[in-house]
Amino acid sequence: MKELQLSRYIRSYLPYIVAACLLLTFLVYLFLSSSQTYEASAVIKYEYRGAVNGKAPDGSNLDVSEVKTSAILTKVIDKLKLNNSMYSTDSLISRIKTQDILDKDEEQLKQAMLEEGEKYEPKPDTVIVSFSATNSEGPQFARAVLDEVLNTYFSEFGKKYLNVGAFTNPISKINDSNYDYIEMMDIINSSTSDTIKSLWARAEGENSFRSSATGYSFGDLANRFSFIQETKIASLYSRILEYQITKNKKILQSNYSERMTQNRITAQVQQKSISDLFKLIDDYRKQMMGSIKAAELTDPLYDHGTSKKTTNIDDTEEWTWEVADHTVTYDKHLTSWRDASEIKSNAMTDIDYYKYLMQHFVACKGLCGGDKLCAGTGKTCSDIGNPDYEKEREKVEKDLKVLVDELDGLFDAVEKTNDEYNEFLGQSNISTLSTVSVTEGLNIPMYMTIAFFFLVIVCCGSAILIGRMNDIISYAFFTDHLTGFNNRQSLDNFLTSNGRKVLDDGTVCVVVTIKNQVEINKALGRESGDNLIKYFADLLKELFAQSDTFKVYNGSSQFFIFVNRTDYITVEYLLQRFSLLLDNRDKFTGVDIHYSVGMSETSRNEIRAIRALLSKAVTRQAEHTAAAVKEDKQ
Amino acid sequence: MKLILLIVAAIMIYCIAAICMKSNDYSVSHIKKVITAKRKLKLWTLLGGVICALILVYSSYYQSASGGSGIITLNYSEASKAQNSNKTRFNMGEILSDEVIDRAIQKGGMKGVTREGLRKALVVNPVVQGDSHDRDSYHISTEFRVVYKANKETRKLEPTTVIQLVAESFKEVYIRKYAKNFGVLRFRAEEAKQFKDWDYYDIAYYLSMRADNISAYMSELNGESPSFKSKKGMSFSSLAAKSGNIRTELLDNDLLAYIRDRGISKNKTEMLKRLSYNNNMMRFDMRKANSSFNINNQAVEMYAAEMTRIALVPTIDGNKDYYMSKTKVGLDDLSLAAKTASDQAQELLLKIRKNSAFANSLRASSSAFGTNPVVDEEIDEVVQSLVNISRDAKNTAQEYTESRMNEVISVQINYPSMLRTAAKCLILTLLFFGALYVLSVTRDYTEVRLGE
Amino acid sequence: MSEKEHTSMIVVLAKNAIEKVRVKLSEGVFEAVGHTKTEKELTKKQKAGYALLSAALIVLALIVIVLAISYVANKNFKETFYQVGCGKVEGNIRIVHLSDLHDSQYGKDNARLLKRIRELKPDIICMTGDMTDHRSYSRKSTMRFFKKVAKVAPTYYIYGNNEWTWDFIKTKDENELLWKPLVDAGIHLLQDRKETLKVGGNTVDIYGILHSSPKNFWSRAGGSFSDAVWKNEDDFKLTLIHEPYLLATKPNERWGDLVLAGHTHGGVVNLPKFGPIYEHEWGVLPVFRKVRCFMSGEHSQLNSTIIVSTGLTNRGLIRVNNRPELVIIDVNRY
Repeated sequence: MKELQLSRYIRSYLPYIVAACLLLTFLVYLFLSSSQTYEASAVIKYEYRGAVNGKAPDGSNLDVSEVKTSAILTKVIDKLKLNNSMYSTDSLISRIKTQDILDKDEEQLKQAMLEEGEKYEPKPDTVIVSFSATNSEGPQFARAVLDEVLNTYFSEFGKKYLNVGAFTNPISKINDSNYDYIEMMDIINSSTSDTIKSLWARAEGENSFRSSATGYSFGDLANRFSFIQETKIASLYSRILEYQITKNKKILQSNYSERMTQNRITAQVQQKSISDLFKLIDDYRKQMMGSIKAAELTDPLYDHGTSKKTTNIDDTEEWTWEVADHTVTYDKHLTSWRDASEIKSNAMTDIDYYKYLMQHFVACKGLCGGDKLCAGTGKTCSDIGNPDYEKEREKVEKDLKVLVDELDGLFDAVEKTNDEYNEFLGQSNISTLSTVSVTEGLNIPMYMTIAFFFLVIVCCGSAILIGRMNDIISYAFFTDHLTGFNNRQSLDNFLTSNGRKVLDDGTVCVVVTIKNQVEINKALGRESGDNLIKYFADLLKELFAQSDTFKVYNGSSQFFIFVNRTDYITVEYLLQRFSLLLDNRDKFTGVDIHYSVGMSETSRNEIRAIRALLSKAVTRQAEHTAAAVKEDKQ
Repeated sequence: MKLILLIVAAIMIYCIAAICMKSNDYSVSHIKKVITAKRKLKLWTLLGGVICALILVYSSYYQSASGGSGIITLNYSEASKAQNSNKTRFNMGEILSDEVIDRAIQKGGMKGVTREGLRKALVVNPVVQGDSHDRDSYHISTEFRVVYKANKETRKLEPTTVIQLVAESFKEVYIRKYAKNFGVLRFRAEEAKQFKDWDYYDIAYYLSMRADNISAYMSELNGESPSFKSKKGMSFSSLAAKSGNIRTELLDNDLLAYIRDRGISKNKTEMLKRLSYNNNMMRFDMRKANSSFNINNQAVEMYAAEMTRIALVPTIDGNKDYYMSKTKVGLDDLSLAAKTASDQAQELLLKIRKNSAFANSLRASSSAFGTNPVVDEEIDEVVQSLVNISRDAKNTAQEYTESRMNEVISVQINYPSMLRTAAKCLILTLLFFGALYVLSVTRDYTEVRLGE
Repeated sequence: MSEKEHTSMIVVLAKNAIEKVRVKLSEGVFEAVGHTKTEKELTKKQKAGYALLSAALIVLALIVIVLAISYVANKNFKETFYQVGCGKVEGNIRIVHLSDLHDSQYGKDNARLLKRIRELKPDIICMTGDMTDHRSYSRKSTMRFFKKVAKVAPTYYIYGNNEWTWDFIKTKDENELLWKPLVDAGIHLLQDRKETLKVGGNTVDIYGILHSSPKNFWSRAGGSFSDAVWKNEDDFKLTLIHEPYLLATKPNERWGDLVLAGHTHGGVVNLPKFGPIYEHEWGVLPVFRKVRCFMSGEHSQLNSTIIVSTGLTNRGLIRVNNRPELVIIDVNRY
């Protein structure tokens, strides 16, 4: 069997090793790529005063997980136009993570408290927000979603904690409703008043804010609404009242009559509440004063307060004085009394207002033809008797439509301005420390490198294993154990595999046969006979060592040697040397060795097929004798 | 090109390994000796080199014809805080928003290209991105690389043109959305056409409001940049003063005073009715305000003094300085509410009185219907003044923002360099050719000849 | 011969042929090329000669390749987009600038060019001269193109040196003058005069210069030009000029908010890094000369933006690295 030579195995399979390593590494790459995830993350910091204490701007506890509420994610899905069947709010929420970042002092405090066995409650003002995407979604998706989430969150934060009170447009499509004209004007007027109030409240709070989308500040918008209220709304109102313009006088009358009744009931109910609260306030005061006086009697130093101990980071203790607050409940009662009184008073005022309105519609102006014909009918006096009524009514309807359109436009501007203000507030109170960055979950180049080297080792090992197994199989099945040459089976395979090939020039077939093997066996014994065969094989091996050959021991003392990329003369020379070596041998000297040698070459003999080449060599065998070597020579 | 390098590397590794295995000599000098030994150049290696060159030239041409990139830089100060110019949050996704893509398609006249088709061909990434998990690596990106790779829909488009159009469209959309909006400053003479249906009082009110708009805006800009002067030498403070003068002198002191004093109206009857209605409405509101004042005042009187203690507590003011303030109790809220209600009632009373005075003037005046030439002339004068001040204000404001906003976004397009591409192709071809040469050497070396 | 034998013979022949090719490819190149002398026998002079010859052949081959590629590339025009900022302008004004067509054809009657102009939806179309060539046999196709393009948007035309030569020097027949068919086609021909048009809410004053020779321009048209540029300053001022040399004569002169010019053809042959090789007014490698030259692209002078088109012509000398150009300008406040 061939020697165990690792380099031989690796060399013979080198192209396969390289190809397999590259291919498998590529497959590893494909697998890793498909499992790749992308994480987009950004760092935000809450900048307003209470943030360091974990408080929101309105004093409540700051909950950073609000960044992944379904309200926000719904807007994100809408904004990015994501496919609702593929992306639900819950699925996106599960992929968003928040991680608190503690500064060094806070870290120390946390460690100290945990060591003391105390409960540590983090109050972070700096947070990492991240969103992960799969390989198919890609890094762009991760970035886009996180950007949009943060955008929406900043805006919602401003809306929820800072710019409290939304703007609504209650007058949109009011023309299509069943309200009477005066009712529509009521709604328009009250919503305009409310809007003006809200706008001025904001203008006073943030007088330098001006929207870049609309160009308006809150003050500008308030002025616009005021102008419309004092001119156009007032004009329409007065014309409706003047001309008694109504869709149905009776329904209108009933409506306002009902309102007055409701207001009266409200006033009565509130009156009861007022009386009860008045009594309660007085009783409460008396009882509270009693208990305080009692406390003062037992403790002269009682000063309506308590002292409280706090421990600082550096373990020093501090005593603070907290004033005992007796006023909260009392204030609440008094405020309730005030509110109830105002509701009652306003209800009474409203009743008078409705009366004022109604007296316009029910008044007989004498246009109906006398005898108060308009009374008791569904039409007003003007409707019956004023020739300009219909023209005026159409004008009022037209002007109402124009007014509503104009107000719609203004409300739209208010909404846009307010939305931008929310974003502005959000950004003013939450800063970005690091913009969205995307990192890969798997370090593919690193894993690929590791995989490559691992595969090189595995492939080389496999090559060695396969090569050695090949050697073993070859030795077991295709090698003649005596000579170490290929055996007959191997020759058959060789002939079969090369049977269809067109042989190159310089392919030589050599046949060497020991003719008197039988005699030698008889003379020297079987073992010696085998040794002779081995001797022949060794000689041939030695002579043809450098060449690209296929050596066969065909049994029956016959050797075939197929030599590639050589020429007739070179092989002939080798065979001559073979003869000389035999003649001057130092083994088997006591016997004559009769052998025959045949040779054929592709170009010389014009043969291109392997079997034909072999046949030619066989037929061209020439007899030789290597005589026994004499004693003195030995 | 990466593939060529990979192939070259694979061939070289194989050849070096094969030579080493064959000769059992792993020294560099031996390998060098084998490779540099004088041999004849094989035709197939030359052919391989030529084919490689052709492939590289074609792929370079194809790449430059189907792909390109550019860098968009945000140049304004707020960008370093990840903000837009109007101090809202900057969102990188807006670079390829629907508006930007639509505008780019419109600008380029890109027939047959849809919004989604173009968007798929574009990718935006920050040039430098930080690391959120490393405090020292926090970074706010202000430069963004736009990469264009043609797809079936966009393959006929010129890559550098696409990137230029996208970047310019983004700049347009950005400035439209986030730069200062001067629409409210615009007052054109055409706006006066609507006055023909309005009464004089309403016209004066409207013109006052417009003058106030301009004045307020100019004051804001003056606060931002008090030293700015336009090419015509106008500053924001001078423009604010001018529009303020229009308001006080031309409008309040002249026009409105004339209208009120003389009782001038195009339709006296209607105006009187309106004033009457207004006053009635305000009386109801005033009644509510007075009632609110009385109730809150009564609550203050009811408040028992002994129910509260005034304590001083430390507080932080806006300048982050400590001071001692007293705790707030219900008394404070009630008295504030009473004051507010009283103020409101006062305001309403003032308005009612003004309206009543005007109504009296109207009743006393002789005109019932129609226009007043004196007032018309006065209005024309005010309109012209406003038109002029509006134009000046708008131009000055625009000049001011242009000096800041025109470079707010700059674009740098990476034009393919022919020389660089040619050099790259040449180097890769030589490398590939070299690898093929080494491969031919290796093949020869591993062949064994009889007798050698 | 049976079919099987026939097939096997073909297979053998094919294998032989493949083998021969394989052997040939495996041969040394020098043998293939037929170089008979060995290296030792070549003298230094011969080596230098061979090297020079090889280099010359390579350079020649490269030139031929470049010219061939350029010729093919010039069959299509490229589009160059510019964005010009001007605070006077509300919204956007889109100008399509054509120049130096020299009766070239992009499709029948320039159908491809027309189609593209339509797709770009311009507000104004400006033609800065040499759209037709005084040496052309027929201008009918170009005139048909003008007629169609004038329907797309208001079209303004000025003469270039070719039109000038034809109308004022070459032709004697009044019926062959160019201005009449241009005006009949609906084109606004500007010869030292201004026209005003409204685009959106903007007023645009367009002034066209008849002949931009510095020698007589100021005496001939200085008055009307100054009027056009200095009056009604709120209007957007657009100046059309064929040869941009005039602009360099008065660098401190106000030429309008936007000036469009042509004539130079971008120097025809444009080398990377070196720019145009030659321009007859500015000489060899004009980019490296100390004088200010407006060869192509966007320039600014005082408060004017100057855009010089390299022209649409693909006739005559082959343009190298300098494709015919259609210019599209968006004017807005950005």
